[in-house]
Amino acid sequence: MNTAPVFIKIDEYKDVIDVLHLIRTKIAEAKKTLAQINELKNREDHELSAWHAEITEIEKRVDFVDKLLFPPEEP
Amino acid sequence: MGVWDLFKKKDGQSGLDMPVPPPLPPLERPFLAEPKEQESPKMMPGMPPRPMPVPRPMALQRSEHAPIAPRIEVPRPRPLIRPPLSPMPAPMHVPPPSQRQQMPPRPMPAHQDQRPREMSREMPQMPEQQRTMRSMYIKGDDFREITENIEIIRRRMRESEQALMRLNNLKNDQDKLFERTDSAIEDVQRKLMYVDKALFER
Repeated sequence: MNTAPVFIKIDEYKDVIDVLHLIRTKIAEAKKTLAQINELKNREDHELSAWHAEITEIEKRVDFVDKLLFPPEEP
Repeated sequence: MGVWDLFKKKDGQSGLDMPVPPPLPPLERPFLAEPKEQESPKMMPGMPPRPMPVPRPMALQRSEHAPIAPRIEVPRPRPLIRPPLSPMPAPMHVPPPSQRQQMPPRPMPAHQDQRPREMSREMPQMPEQQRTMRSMYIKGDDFREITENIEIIRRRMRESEQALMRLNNLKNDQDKLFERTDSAIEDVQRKLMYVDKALFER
């Protein structure tokens, strides 16, 4: 059975195209913002790892001072 | 008796005796300047008459007297002929209003009622004729796919909004942790100063 195609009229076609273009622009802006956030997150991860190393170093030195000040009791 | 009274008319006398002009003949046709016959040039007495110039073609005159100017091809304006319009298929099936109302109404977000106002502000109002020219017909299958894709896009946008909200919450939690860590570090610094004083103060 040969069915004829059904066509649907779209009013304000140019407006629809303009809005789609606007949405595309917004998506590009969102992708750009996401890339900037990703870069900030990478820098944050780097700072967090450096902070973690600092805290570990501080902890070691505190342990060292603690050992010097309070020698282990002999059993 | 003043100076100005010298030129004043005297009583009972007119200034000048002017004869009455004869009546003008009636005009039979509008007054137009009739073309004068070609006057022969005035000749001085004793000189032979000069032969009258014979008109020659323009091209011949130009070739003899003036240099030939470059021929400039002036493009003629194209006739304003519209291309034949492609036949636009007419809608073959229009759903009756009863079927149109069976479609479930889509939930409209609260912020969506602001969009048409913004669009009308950005896009100038156009006459009705141009508005109708901006319409377009698309296939029913394409229209169905477009509506499905728009629904998926709407769902993904909702999920994206929720993800952004979760990220915002994470950032707030992170800020709280940073503040707590900052106060802890300040506390440790104060304690270190106390230990330093206790150890090296005499």
